Amino acid sequence: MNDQQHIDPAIWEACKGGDKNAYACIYTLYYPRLFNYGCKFTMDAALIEDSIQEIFVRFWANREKLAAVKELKSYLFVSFRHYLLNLLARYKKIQEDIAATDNYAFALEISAEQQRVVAEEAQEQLQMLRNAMRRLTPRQKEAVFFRFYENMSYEEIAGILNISVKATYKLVARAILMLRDAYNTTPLVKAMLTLAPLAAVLGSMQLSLIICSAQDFPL
Amino acid sequence: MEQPTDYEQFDTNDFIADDHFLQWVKFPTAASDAFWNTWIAAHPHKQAQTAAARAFILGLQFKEELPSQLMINASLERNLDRITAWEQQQQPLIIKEKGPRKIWWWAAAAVVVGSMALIGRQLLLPAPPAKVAYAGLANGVRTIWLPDSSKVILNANASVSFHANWAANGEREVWLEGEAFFDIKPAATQAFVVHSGNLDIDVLGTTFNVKKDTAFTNVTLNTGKIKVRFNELPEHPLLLAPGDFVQYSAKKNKITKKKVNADLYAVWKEEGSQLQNVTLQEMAGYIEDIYGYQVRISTAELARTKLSGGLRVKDEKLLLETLSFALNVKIERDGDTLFIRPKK
Repeated sequence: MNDQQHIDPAIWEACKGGDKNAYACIYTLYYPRLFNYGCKFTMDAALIEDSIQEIFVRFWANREKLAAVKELKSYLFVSFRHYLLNLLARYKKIQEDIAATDNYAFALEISAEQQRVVAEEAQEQLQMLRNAMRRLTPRQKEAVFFRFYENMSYEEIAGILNISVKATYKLVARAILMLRDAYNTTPLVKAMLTLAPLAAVLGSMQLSLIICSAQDFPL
Repeated sequence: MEQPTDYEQFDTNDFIADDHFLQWVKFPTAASDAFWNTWIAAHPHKQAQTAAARAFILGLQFKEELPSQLMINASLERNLDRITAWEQQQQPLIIKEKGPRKIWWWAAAAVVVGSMALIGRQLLLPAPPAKVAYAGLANGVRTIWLPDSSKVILNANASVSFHANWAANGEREVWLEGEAFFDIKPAATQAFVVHSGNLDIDVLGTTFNVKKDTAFTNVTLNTGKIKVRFNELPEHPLLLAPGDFVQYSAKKNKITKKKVNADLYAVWKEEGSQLQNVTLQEMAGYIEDIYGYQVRISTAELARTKLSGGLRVKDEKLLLETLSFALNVKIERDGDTLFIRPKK
């Protein structure tokens, strides 16, 4: 996979050998990404911070068991997801293993910046996309996040969500279909086509939409 | 990268779901640009689909909630502390779930086996452990973490070296060239020694500054307690208290000790760090120690004038200009002597 933000194998080897400067490189690269991912599950920054702290201590203790740098990213996301969801479950006094069901919230938020720049007809488009996003299951939203934000391979996503690679392909394909329906049902496909190159130019510009889980459990 | 051959059968959604296509849209390379531009040119009837797929991928921009650099650094520091604590205990910190517990013991076992293997190797081959070296930046400061999570801030062009692996109860040793600020983690069973040219410093959990150049080595203690041992004057080790400044001149084989404002001597380590109530007298001492001038202040009253605020001490010229402006004084140089007097 081409991933612009990856860890150099030499840094990984140094970290395995006990070099704390190499470890600090890995920490500072993945801390913001795990934090951002954690924010989709909960607004409680302290819980997210605690989880990251804990899984990184475990990572340091287990680092010699991890074979290749390729596994590092999945390992960190998987252990973070597991730890955070368990913490959340305990806080919400839900006894069942919520990670095994779809009984969790995953909020993908896309902000107001883009609305200021797009034309009125494109706003309608965004609203359609927002509605389509709302219909996705938390698991679909999570897969979309890993696929289109973290740029992970189907194999990596399968590992994190603990499902087969084939099921991951299906999950992503189904999500794409549902999101794209939003465009196909409006006559304004052209508006989105002109919007995209603009989005590419503006880089970090953000859409505004809040996608809530259809199955939010009561707090 | 192997390319599937059935792109002709692809619709827009297939392109969106395709690995190669996604990578090309998000992280184009010369090779992927060449492939896709050629492919699209050769398949004009697919142009609409690839354009729509591209637009969809680029249009999916999620809101990011990224922590600030300050938050990242604070979190890293906390984490290094926790790792050190874990290493010292060699046992799990907090274990609540059943699943992870297994992993923990596995980890502990792996570490024990690992260190036994290491001891075995050392018995067979008594080679000295490898030393690692870190050089400071040409311009600016760089933070280095030691194996015990102690922190060393290197000033421009300084360098520090140490053995890559520190035994649990062995001595912690660091070799320094140039100037550095040390923030040492206390550890009762592990001595910490800084070797700097003509002197060695024994440390007990503390923060201090060492500056070694060709003529002088300066040691300033900010907090805690350290002992400075001089190679050429072994009978005169010095025990330092916070605020103590020691200068060793290799040429004269002479030790000078005095009280200073220790914050001032470590001010270089942070860009725009703030000083509180430093007297011009203290500044003059600092200029003498660092830049080798004799400083004469015209009146006792002026010498007692206090300065507070941000101070750039990176270079001499800037420092003197700042002082001159802030205190409204005239600074004149005559050979190796600086004269400071009020502006008329």
